[in-house]
Amino acid sequence: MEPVEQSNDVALDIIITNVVSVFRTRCHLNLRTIGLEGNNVIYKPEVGKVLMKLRKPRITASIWSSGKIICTGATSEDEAKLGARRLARCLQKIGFKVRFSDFKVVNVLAVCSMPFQIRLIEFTKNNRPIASYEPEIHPAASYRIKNLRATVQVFSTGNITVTGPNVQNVALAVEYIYPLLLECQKTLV
Amino acid sequence: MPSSCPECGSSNVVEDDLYSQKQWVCEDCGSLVSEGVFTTTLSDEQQSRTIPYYISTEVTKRPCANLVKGLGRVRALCRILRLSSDMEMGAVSLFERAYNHPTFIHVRLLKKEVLGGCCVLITCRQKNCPITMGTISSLLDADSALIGMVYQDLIKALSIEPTTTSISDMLESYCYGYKLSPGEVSEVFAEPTRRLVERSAALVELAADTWLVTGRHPLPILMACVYVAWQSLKPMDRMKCTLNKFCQISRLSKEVCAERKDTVQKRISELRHVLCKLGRELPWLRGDTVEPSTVARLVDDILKHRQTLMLKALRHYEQEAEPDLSDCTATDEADQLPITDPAAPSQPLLTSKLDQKDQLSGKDMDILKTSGQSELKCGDKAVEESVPPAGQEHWGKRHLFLPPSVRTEKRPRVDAPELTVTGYEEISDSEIEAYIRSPEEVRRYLAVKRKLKDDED
Repeated sequence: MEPVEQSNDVALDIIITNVVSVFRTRCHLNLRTIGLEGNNVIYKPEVGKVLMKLRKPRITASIWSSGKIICTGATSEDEAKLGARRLARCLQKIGFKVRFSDFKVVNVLAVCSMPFQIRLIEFTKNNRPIASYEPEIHPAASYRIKNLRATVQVFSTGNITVTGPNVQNVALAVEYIYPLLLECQKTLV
Repeated sequence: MPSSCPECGSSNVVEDDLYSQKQWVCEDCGSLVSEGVFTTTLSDEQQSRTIPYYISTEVTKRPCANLVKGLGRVRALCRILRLSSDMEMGAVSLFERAYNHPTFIHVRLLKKEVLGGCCVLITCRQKNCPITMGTISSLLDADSALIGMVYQDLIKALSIEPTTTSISDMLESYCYGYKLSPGEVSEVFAEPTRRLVERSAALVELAADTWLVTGRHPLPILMACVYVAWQSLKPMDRMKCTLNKFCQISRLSKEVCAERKDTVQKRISELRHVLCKLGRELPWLRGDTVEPSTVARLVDDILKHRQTLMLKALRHYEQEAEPDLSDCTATDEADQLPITDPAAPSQPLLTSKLDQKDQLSGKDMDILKTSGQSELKCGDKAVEESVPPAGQEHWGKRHLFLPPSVRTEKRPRVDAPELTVTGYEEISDSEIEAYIRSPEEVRRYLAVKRKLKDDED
């Protein structure tokens, strides 16, 4: 993703690492046939699904017999859509009456690196009910932004991971949290 | 209702109940014609429901046996940790509330055991006398991940606001787990707890300032600080003593000892390296080497002059890193007040980074720009970080003290170049063919499978 330009001229690289999306094929799928005729598939009868991996947009899809499919591994929303369509075409070629419908991006995971360390205890104290930090459970402080439905995990090294329902929310979440982090980069002495 | 008796054929059948069982008896011959069902079943109940075993019909409700056991466990924990009586009462009432909450009433027994520990933990934190989760985990012999899960569920269920505890608060109660008072061990190893706490507190503060504490489990750090503090109080005799020997001497109780000794060793070496970095600045050593294994004898001096040594070390590091800008920083620093923050990356850093991105001019231009900016800022009582002249140097290199994982940070992956994808492109048949097996391949695959199966059999 391109650097996000903000009003105070800071360039931060937000790297999207995973986009999770779902879609439906509106028809019943025979998992055994897919397992047999598909090339990059793993059939898991104990769980009742088939895992299919695509090469071009690097995507892993979980296919259920009801026709619901979850795609993970894309690095952008458009890539996720392309991968999903490719998958639907694949299933069509195998012989099912597939109709590509109800495509929706469900979750986006991104990482961002701040060029400074962050004092987590101070960060938690400043943002008391919204931020929570338990070093014995997880090394990062977690901050939930309710209106964006995004969660940010802040590490002391300055790296943050953001999860949100779509890419725009993720970018807004980073913009929102940046000033809060900036005031907690108190240094020695 | 039966109308005639099968024995004598008379129609004089009357209803005659035996206690609560309905019976139809023939009046003439006295034989039992039929009887109702005695026990309560679906057919007899008006609402057609059986009474399940877990709903009792007791008049006075007794408290659940597991609740009683759990309360006993909470009280025992409080006694082991030597908590005051009102803290014990607080923990007990919290446990009762939590136990009867819908989130916890139907969970497995293991979780209910852990719930008791979490209640004690929360009560301690609220009364400003915190204990670590590691302590609870070793006392209950439970998995720390489970404790973490139950703790977070408990906070959410009862809407308790968690208090952030700092590691220094935990130190005093932690030190009481070490049995090193003069009566209990030989004179060489004995140490009054007060002195130990003082020295360890200073070391813990130093560790916190130099990024050894943030994000990490507190128990190994506390143990490392206490060990180094103990060594430094009589360095000549105690320097040879290893960590394991120290644990034996102080007869460390299970809840105070960290789970994994190798983590403690790592923290000890990190702490010693920090002490070495500061020890090198001691003027009376005059450039002598300071080794982690022998730094214990210098700890006393280092801690006394902590602030000054820190400043000196940071300035030294800056000067070494930026030799061409050393003139600028040296002259400006002379005018500064002692309290400065030389390690503050902020606005000028970021704007100059952006400038670098914009312009394609050479190194010289950048140096001029950054030196100009730092001169400006120096006047404002804040010595700014001098920015590296050019290149994509990691910001971490400019700091002497960093969170350790920054130093060992992997290079960012340079994946395949981002495809400009719209999501609506045409998908050619040939691409899709690659993902489907041809009939020939399918036949071959089935044949191989059959063969493998036969071989197995």
